[in-house]
Amino acid sequence: MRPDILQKLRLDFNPFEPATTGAPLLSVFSPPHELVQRTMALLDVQQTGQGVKAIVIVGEYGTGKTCLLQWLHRQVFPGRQIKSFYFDNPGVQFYDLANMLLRAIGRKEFAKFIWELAGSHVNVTYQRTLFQKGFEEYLSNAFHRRRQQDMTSPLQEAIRNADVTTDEEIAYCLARIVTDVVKKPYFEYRDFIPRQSGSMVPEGEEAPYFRAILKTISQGTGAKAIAFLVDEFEEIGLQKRLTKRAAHDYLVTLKRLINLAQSEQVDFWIILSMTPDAYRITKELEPALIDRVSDRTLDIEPLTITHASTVMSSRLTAARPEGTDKSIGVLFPFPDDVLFRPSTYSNPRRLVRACFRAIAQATAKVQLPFTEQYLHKVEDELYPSSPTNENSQP
Amino acid sequence: MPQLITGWQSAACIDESRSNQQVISPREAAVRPSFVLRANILTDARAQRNNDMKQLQHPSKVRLQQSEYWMRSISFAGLHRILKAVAAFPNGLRAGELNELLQKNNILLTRRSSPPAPTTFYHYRNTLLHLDALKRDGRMLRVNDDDPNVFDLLNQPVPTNGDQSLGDIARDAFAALVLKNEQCRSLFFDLFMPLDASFDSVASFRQNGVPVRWSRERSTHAREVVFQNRTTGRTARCSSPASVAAVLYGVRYWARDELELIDEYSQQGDGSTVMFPVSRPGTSTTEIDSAVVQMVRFILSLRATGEWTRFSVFDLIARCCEAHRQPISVLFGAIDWLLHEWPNHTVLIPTSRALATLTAASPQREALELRRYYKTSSSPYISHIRIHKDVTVKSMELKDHEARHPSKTPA
Repeated sequence: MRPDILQKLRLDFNPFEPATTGAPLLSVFSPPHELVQRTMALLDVQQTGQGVKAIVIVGEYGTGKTCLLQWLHRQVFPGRQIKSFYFDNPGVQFYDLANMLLRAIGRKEFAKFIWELAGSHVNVTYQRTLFQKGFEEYLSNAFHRRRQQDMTSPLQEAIRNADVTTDEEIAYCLARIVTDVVKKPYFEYRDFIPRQSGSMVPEGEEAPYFRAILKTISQGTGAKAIAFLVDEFEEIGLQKRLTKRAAHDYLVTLKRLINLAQSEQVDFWIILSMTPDAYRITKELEPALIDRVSDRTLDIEPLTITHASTVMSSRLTAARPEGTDKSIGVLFPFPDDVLFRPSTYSNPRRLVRACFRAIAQATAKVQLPFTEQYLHKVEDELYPSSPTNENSQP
Repeated sequence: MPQLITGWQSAACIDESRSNQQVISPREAAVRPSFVLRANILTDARAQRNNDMKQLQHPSKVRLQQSEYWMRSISFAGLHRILKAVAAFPNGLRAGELNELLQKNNILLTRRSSPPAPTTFYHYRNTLLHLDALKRDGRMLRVNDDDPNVFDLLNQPVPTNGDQSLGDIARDAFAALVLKNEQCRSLFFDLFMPLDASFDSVASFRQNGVPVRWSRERSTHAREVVFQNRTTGRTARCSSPASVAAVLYGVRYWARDELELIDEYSQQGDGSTVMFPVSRPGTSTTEIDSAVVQMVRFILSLRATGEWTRFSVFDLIARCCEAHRQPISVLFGAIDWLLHEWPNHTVLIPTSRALATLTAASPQREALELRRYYKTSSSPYISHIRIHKDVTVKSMELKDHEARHPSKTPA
């Protein structure tokens, strides 16, 4: 955009994103007050309980589910000493979650968590000495293949003794994550495909494996709880290669994970966001999973005019040059009243896109603040499929 | 309640309507027909006859009874064209001559515009004979113009070759012929009737029928299609391929797509599908009282007090269509109306096609599951709609809309 036009609009830059996915980059994301209150109330109620807390966020496309999850991830959970992990979609296989989770932490970091937990439980004398010398020294010893074989087995035993898991195969997989880290200090996707050579995951043991990972992270980070924020849960059905059975398996495994975490007293939060149709279908396909979720879903309601005004003003304020005369109005170059049509202002994504376009298309001759006619023209250009015409209602 | 068992069944048959379930031995079942439904839905007079039919039968008689599964998925526009073609020969035609005539004049064509196989000609001919639209006179086939419904059909213009649409009068005439057919009634339509009601016309079927569910179930011996009327508790089973082809893909298809006597939508959770009788939208009523307008009014009356109310299309089908005997196309017409008249106060909430058909195992099942989603040619599949509190219906707007925009979305 030309600087002179931006200057005329009293903005340093266009504060609305054209793609409109996720939370804004610059201004602090603040969900509508009423939604914040409902969310915090639900979290407070859930936090008083023990074990697993599962919440479903239901909202149509573009209503701000991702923003809400990112707000929980960045601002709410850290304040409650909850280590949260955000997954932008659950992937096709359940192990996709493990892939994303462990890659987010990093292999070396995760290996260190395991090493720290298991170190005091190693029974072989010389190995115990190795643990006392520190993680790096231990890794350099593990570099040689023969020694690596010697070290995996005691570490596997130590992992079991540390009560991370009782399953031999899972303990072995976790031990290999540590002993192989020098050779390969990163995770790759094939590590999470069961039956692949060198796979780090046990086949058919997704839930206990996850429970072991949760326990490791929880104890390794000193967090009070672990939270999984799974966005676009409906994506489990988006890929044609996901058969009915695979979809069921995924849901059943999620249910097992919740059960296992519950029985092991792991303080675990799982927040799923999905569209209304996905919620209905999940409920029908796997009612037992929804039964385990909080009886109250967090429904994201359409924005009101007041909410829309807040969304616009928070972004415009972040782009306002210093020393701007405040008498121009907080929504300038938009008029003080939100003049977009209800279908636009009620949906955050449509609203932000329309605002972006209104500013981006402004010329030197544009009337300020923007007129209703100009804004409606922008809306019509953006959403031409809407059958708007002169016969329409106001 | 006695029951009639028809067709072949290799497994034991169970009378589900009896409190002490009576199991019939496989040997006995082998010589009995298998369709377990019918007696449940017959009147007392017919029940006596059914008891007689429950006697052990000779295999030759059973083979004869297999011919009751003659219904096939065929086009009634094609039937209409054949009827008109035969009517042009007062002395009648032999079957071979009729086939030749149909081929020569391209009266029946496949989707690829090629002449169908001889078996298809047979099924069309056979259907017209069973519906008493044609009658046999020795080896000749003649039109049964003594029947008033056939007479009506002959007076209607036929759809052009390749056109699959039927006019309202022709559709009603065919519906009357089908509902008059004893086998169609006992295998399918009687199941829709409450215990204390029967139907003697198309109108009374539409008015008195209640919903019926069907689902596929795997029994110990075979896969079955189970029909259940939850109002009366009546259950029927199709366990042989012939009965499935005739009832599920034959009569059900006729009733839904060709004759518009019923509509149906699938339930995701248990895999069942609900069929319900539908009223015929009146053509002579004033536009303001049309089904679409009534539907819009009803939807608007369901709104909550907030600024917006979100409706699931699936719930609307159950509440507005099934409960009020309206075709799903009327609901979609109502959504069309809302979108046209209140485009900025009506919001469509899409879903992904893959999610909507997550449990579908075949293209046919996919099509069935997608029936409960609103869609126009340019939009994705819509699972929910959101309606603003300001949306209202005014008389003049309705007249204008009805005149300008007939229903756009086929169900």
